[in-house]
Amino acid sequence: MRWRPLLLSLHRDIGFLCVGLTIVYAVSGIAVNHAHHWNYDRSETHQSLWLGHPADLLQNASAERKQLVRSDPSQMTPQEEQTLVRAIGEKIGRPLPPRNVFWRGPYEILAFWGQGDDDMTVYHVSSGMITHTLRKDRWIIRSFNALHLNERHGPWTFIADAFALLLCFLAVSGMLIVRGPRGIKGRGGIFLAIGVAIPILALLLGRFSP
Amino acid sequence: MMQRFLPLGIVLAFCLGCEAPPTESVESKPETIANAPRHSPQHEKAAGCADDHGMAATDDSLRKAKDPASGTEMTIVGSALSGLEKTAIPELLGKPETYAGKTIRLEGDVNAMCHHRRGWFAMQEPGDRTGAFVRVITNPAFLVPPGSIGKKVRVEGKVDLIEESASAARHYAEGHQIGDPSAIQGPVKRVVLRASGAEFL
Repeated sequence: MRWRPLLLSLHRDIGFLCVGLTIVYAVSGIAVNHAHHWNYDRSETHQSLWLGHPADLLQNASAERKQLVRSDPSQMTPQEEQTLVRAIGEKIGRPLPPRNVFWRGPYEILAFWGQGDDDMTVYHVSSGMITHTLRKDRWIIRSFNALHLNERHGPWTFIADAFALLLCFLAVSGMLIVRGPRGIKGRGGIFLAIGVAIPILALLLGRFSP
Repeated sequence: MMQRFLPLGIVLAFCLGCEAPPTESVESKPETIANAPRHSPQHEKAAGCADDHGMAATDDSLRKAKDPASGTEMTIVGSALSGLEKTAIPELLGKPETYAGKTIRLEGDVNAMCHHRRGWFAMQEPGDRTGAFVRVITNPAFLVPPGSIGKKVRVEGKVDLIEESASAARHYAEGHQIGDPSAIQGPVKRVVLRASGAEFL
């Protein structure tokens, strides 16, 4: 029996079958490989703006209260905090009242205008600066990651397992399809050796380096 | 000559991150699987979120419901809350040994979370201005719903006292703005809650 044409047909058909999943896994793989460089699930835009010291934004407060807030902004009463957040919201054109407001430590007030942290303002009470952050889902990469990381489990576990096995088949069959000087006994073999050596070398270096 | 080296060029281009034609990409595919991020060494080297490794949590348990108290929509994850009495966060942080190993309920504001792997979030007492927080580890019970910072949360879980490495503590302080980075001189003793279920609203 001539097995090479059969292998070639299988390699071709399975190759086509795997294109979609390979792209999903490869894109997600690159995204999560750089997790320390970016937030791959959501895009973020930041804007900084100077609004003024809390004492200046509390227009109806007494001179005595303004003086106290100027020397120690964390002495603000909940009512003053509410007035301050209202002033911030009006200055930056956000709907009032915010969905949630709280202090992150003694120097920052966080105000949330949208769902979750989609539209968030950090007010730095000592400098009077705000940092405004808008977040949007990167829904394509987010969806790819959900599949790659198997976040839902269920039937996808079996599909992902089958895909991994098919990739193994493609790798092995790919080695055997080509004969002659370009095959495993020729330049193909050199590439094969390099490809196998890369992870082994990486593991060895990782193991023996300090 | 060009034709002779074209396949080599394509393989090299693929290694550098370009997309290669299907016939040449075959050898590289298993490497994609090997890059699965569950054991991402880069994240660890960057002193990333330590609880992300060996992620077993899923979104399986995520469900929506109306909060009976406020009428607002809430997201429920993990096991249903059993209705334990609320423990105040300052009380827990003040007497951690009393609560170690006990299952308790906390309520507060979510002030940080792991955006990447959604394996933990941090919460603080409503109205608190000190910056005191408790980190809630949700892996393996559930994944933190995306965009939970700024939401109110009710959570139940077991109290654990851990020693956080200086690099991890610095990562949480600098990368997630919880804690004072200048105060971290070495390993830090922390109170964490290993969550079984939570409601975000």
